[in-house]
Amino acid sequence: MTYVYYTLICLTLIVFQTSVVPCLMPSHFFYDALIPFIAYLGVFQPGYGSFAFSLVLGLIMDGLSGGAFGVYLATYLWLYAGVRLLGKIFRLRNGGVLLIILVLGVCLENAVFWGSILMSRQGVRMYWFPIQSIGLQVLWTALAGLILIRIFETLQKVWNQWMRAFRT
Amino acid sequence: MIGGVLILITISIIALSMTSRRHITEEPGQIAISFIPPFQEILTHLTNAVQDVWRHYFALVRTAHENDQLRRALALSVEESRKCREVELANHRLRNLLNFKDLEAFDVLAAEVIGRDPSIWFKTIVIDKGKADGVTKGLPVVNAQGIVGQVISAGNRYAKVLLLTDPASAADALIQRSRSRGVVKGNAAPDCLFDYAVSNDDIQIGDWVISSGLDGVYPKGLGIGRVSRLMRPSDDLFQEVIVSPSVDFEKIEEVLIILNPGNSGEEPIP
Repeated sequence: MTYVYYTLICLTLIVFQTSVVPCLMPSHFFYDALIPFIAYLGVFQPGYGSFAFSLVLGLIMDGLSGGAFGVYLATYLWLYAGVRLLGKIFRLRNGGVLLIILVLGVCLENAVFWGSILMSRQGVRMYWFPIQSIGLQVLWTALAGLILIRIFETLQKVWNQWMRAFRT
Repeated sequence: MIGGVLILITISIIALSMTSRRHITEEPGQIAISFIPPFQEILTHLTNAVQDVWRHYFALVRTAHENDQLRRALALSVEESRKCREVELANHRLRNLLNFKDLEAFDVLAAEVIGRDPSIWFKTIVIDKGKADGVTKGLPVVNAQGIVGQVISAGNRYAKVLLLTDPASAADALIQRSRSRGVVKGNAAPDCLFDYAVSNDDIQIGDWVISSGLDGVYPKGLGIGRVSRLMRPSDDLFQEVIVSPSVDFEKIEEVLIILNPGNSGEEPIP
């Protein structure tokens, strides 16, 4: 039943950030809301199931995106693997550490995307626009990232309670 | 664990370097393009409905003031309209004289934008028309302002369009005034580059850039944008030309897909 919860959250996030956010604000004002979800899976729900979910999410986003196939997949898998690796060294449930992970996740995603563009095309000229945009994304992460993770956590607890009540 | 991560990173880099040189979204991408867009469509309609309610009912405070302004503007517009009608008739006569062909010469299909790529690096939109409506990979997509992009993947009811501002996009183009040729490319920024413009080409800020029709994708004469910045390095063969697209990609809601781009229209009268 946890997978149903994951599916609902993923679907909501994907549709929200591809259909609703662009209507409300310019695309460079917001960041990939799936990054906090991948971090959440890595920190709070480790296991093969959440790894498989990160993989599926990457495939879906690659299908919807215009980038080289595999950029989202690589980002989400690296982020998941990185979070699991860091989990062996640090106590990741701490808010400060989580925030750093989210900011690093946003930077990692932008680095992978930029790298794939550089690999695919010679002579791409970079202006200030992407740097400003990454700055805004980091700011959004700092403001909303932790809140999103707490929302995922709370919703999962509520979901689990519902499921237990449903079974009994 | 560390070994596993290293293997994962190595495989990813190799796979990315292979896929980034060529779009292979056709097969795996079909899955996402088939089952996510229905949800995007529902939510887009819901968002638009909420925005409509907001605009029409909750923003009435400004309406009375706007009404006065609009009445004054209307009086001016009636006079302008009469003049425009005269110009339109003259234009129609001249077009017939020159055997002019524009978008009317093409079979176009209107589509609504229901989703966008959330990333700043890649610029794609999802539209609510697909193979069932005659949309196939490679068709040009335009709107009233000019070129929007090209269909890169088509599902049965939905299709994905690569916007002109995407780094993977390119269109053969002309400076309308001086006929200088170049290639307009996306650049991971709101503006595009006009590449391969030779240093001594006559290009000025404000010049219109139009499609040349030589790339086999976009028909000749479609608007791309205006030259917004110029840099002429003294020691370089080419000059750097930045083009501001005429299409507002952030606010794009409807597009037209040209179903028979082979029927190339002639270039509009400057």
